[in-house]
Amino acid sequence: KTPPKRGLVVGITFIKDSGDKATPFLNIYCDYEPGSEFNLESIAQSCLNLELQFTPFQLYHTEVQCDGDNETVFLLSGHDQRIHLYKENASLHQFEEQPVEKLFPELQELPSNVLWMDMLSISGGRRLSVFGCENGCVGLAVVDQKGPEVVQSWRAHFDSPISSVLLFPLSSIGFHVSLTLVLSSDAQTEGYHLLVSSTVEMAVVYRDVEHLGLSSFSCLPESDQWDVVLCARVMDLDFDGQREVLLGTYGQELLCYKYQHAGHDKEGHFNLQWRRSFKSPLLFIIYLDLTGDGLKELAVLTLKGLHILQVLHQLRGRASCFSS
Amino acid sequence: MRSVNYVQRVSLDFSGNLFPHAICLGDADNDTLNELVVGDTSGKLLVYKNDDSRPWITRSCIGMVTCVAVGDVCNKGKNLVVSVGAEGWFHLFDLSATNKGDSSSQHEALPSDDQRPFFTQHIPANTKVILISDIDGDGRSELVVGYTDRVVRAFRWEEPSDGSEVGSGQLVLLKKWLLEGQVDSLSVNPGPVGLPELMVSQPGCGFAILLCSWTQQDSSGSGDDFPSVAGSEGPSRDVTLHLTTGRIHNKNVSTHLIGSISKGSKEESSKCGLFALCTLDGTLKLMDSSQQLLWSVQVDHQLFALQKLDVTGDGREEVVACAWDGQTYIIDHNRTVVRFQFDENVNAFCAGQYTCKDGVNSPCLVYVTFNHKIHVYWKVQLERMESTNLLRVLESRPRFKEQLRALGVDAEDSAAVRELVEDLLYKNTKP
Repeated sequence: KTPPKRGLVVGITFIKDSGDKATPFLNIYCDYEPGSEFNLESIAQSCLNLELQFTPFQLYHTEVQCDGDNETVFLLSGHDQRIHLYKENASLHQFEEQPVEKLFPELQELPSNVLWMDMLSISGGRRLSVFGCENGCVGLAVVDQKGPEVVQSWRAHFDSPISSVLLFPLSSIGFHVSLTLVLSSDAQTEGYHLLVSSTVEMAVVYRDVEHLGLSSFSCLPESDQWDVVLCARVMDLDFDGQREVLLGTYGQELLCYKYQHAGHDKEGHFNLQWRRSFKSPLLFIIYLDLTGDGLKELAVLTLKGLHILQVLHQLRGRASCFSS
Repeated sequence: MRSVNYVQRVSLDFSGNLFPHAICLGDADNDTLNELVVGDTSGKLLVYKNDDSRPWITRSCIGMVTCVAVGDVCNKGKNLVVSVGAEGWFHLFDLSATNKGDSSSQHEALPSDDQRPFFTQHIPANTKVILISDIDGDGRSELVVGYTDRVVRAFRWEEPSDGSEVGSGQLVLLKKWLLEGQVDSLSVNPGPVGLPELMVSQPGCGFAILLCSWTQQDSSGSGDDFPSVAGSEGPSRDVTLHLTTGRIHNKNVSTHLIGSISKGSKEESSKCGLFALCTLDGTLKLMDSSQQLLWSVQVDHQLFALQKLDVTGDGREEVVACAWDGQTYIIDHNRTVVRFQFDENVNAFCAGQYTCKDGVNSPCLVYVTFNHKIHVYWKVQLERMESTNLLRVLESRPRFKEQLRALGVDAEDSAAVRELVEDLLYKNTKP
């Protein structure tokens, strides 16, 4: 994911239990030889193996501007109250750890261990950055990528560890908006929202965080009924031009929320539109085209397997379930 | 192979142990809604209704119940519950009279007169499997019993012509067939001309068709001496054994069979019916009564139960096979396979229509575990058997190609069509 070279880099963190002591590792796989992208053996050989001194929590990747170029870097949060940055060293063709403060000034001096983070590039060469901590602290910052320097930052405290944070634009206008287009064009009119889910409390959506910070929010009702919310995704599932919020819980439920407009002067609220049970806890949700027909499928990773939900052709908004 | 996970289930309490054929779904109380009937090894007959985890009705039988069935065995237009014990005790229960009003007090009620079967008869012992169906094409139901000693007997309920009293009739033996191998299932399948054929499974993925010779004899013999005649000379002649070809590793492997699999419409199903076979070593076959093989599937699970169930709601019944370890295969007529892994080992399995929720019959899968529970999966309906592809659906529309040409997109270029679909669905159409 490093244009203009357009390669694919895969990073995996794992804990190798070698007898008495378990050691965490970060493996980074790159396809340096063109044409051998799908040759697993050749990819395995070009693997970079890094031993970690901390227990990894979330491996994240994002684009940063450095020296005028866009570059994708890995961010890894750990149990040492720090976020580690892995950046490709162009001359060595290898990833190496670099100090995080230089590129991500908002990610230093963290209040606790970061469990989840999310970033989004917004207009004016700025970026929204958010992290959720083990002690219930959520940190949000608007950062000017040139510099980089923190323009504004907010903190909020929850009573329980934060399980996920997600920044998203919620299109409330009656036409279809895709994420890529929103990122590059005039989306500031509708603003960006921040979804925060914690382990005990209800999930909350903060409205227009770029301008309002963490001051205006609404809860997702009943989202605390099925154990911890482990994953979240925002997408337009029913093709009505408005996005829905999907939450996956440890309580084996997939919840779909829709934003309901109240009126001109009043704030709308989120309604639980439907839910669907699974056989094991939900770990991750992704929305992508797997069948190659242009229509996206919803892939849900659970503790025991991967489920793929297809949209019914009647486009009733409910997905029909099958898994592999 | 697609696999699905069913999650909507209810768990029913069942503390006993049972034989694999001592479970069935049927309308026991004639209210058009199906109940689950289970008989255990201590002689208890339990009837479950809706999603209540406790039995709706409990009845006692003599001996170990080996098979239960629900059907109009007396040809009175009313379903009765039949239970047959290993020792040969045949019981009939009429549950229609059971007042729904005092169902709450049922649990505390002491065994009284109406708790007893309304008819009991002793038939030859060592029963294994029963079937209530019209086997000779006369429009009346017969009772067929399979035995552990490789014998199959057919009975008919007969009442004295003057007797209007309830329970004055009795079972009369029509015929006895002696087979070469163990009989694991009995079924009826419409033959090539539409007449029902009684089929029994035979080891090694085989089956036998049993001829109902009394139809030729025009029932000239009197009810008393007829059975002895049939029993002494009839057996071997009236059994036509068929062995299916193919990969059979073990000639003695236990085999199950189910017939009369619906093809969608009544006219189609009434002639040259479909039947399926499965073996304990994992062979599944779908054939029609002209012996034509429609498909064969080999799986690596020990299949011990075979059922039919319309899971897609298109009127065509799918074949449902269950293995001891809970792996369940649902296969349609085109050999599309969907599987479902039930998490526990299975003691007995059945599939069919059951009224679990909302007061309507819905297709259900019923698993009896070894942990004193019966799990009923009541939402097993699938929209379709296979995964779909929007491009294929679009291509089946006649105007699709035309529209593509108008847009200047080559219909053969699937990448371009995909891009178009993606743009239309997900990209911002700029105002």
